[in-house]
Amino acid sequence: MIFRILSLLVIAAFSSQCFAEGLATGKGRILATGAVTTIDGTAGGGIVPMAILAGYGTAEQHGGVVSGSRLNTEDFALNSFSAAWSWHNRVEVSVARQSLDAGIFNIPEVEELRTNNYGIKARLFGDVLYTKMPQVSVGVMYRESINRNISALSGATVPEALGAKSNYGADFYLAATKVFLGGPLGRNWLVNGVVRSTRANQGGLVGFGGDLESGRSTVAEASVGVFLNKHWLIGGEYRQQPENLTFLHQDDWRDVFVAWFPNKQWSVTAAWVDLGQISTDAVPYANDDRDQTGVYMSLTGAF
Amino acid sequence: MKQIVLVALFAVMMSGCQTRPQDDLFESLGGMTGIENIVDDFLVRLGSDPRISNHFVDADPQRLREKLVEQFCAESGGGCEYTGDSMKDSHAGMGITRTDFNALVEDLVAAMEAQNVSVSAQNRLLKKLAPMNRDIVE
Repeated sequence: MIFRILSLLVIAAFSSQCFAEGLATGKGRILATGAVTTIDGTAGGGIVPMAILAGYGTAEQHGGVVSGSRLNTEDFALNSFSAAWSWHNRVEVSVARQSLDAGIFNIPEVEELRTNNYGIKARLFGDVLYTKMPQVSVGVMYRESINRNISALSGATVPEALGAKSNYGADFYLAATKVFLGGPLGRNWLVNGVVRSTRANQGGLVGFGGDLESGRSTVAEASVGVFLNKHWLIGGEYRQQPENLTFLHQDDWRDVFVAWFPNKQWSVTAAWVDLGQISTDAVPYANDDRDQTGVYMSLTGAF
Repeated sequence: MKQIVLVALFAVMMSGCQTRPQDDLFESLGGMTGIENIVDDFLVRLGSDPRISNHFVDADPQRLREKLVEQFCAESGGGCEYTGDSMKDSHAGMGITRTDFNALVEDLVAAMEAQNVSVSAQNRLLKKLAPMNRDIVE
């Protein structure tokens, strides 16, 4: 409930700011420095956030993005739709709805595991292009499962039925991002590191906490990319995962990606993603020790 | 798969360290003629860019051209000496924002692209010029 109110507040803030004097929507940042959108809805790569705030607004502007993505692995499919807005290149808020095809879990009445993600990220200092220090931001990503009180599960939620301790949780993270102009090969290089405190199982899709670890774990994430030119970025990401559930083993996530920035209006990202083994007694067909690999596609539109 | 990508990435990075001495940027920009062409193109774009052209209405075009050529030549290792005012003094009180500065960078990149400057040379010149934002943006 409180997060429904929060969503309304965010929307109200969007609309009021759009008409506020002295702060225009704008795209004054350099092409590609708006980054793309993660599956969680905040600016970054595909699975790892960055210190960059969504959109192309500078300190004098505000702006945002809407984005949609799909990830298909051997046994899973994940859709994500999100929106994010940033003010003064200082604060970003984001909302995202994720839907994981849950047919493989064989739970009656449940075709999808859905989560709502609400993020806020603040730039502490630095600029991704112009300062010697990297751009550094802190963020909170709150997620809640919205598959509640399934009658076939005797009133339990899906994450609980799969062994999670909780249906909701907040990640706290610190991100540092820097573009090195004219680096090796005369190309511009993107380097990004994240430290995250989290209880999330599979990024929150399977709830929070478990029998092995019900509290927080500190995990590390990183991305590296090289701009072939100002329109094309290729690179890779790595996202460490905690091991909370006996019932549902989880490996670290990683990908290699290519992002295309034809202009400041659109960006398109394609990635080859490896989520590692997701083996569980609840997922008999996924239990053959193979990695869950597949293709990720994402489209982001900026305003 | 991941290992192959990493090894390839490192190979690329290492080869990048050896390909070029740092100071052939001047040559990569086309020498003095190349720099003059870039600056001429750049100034036309600045003057017709509605986002920032107002900052240049009082500038002496001949002097601006001369000092920019000197500066690009000096920064790219062409052996020139920059004789203009410091970036701080020449932009003091102009109220230049980060948005303005980025617009200027976009015009410079467009000028270099129009003059067929390689991506590598573009990036290396930008690397030299980017730190000046500290003295220009208010």
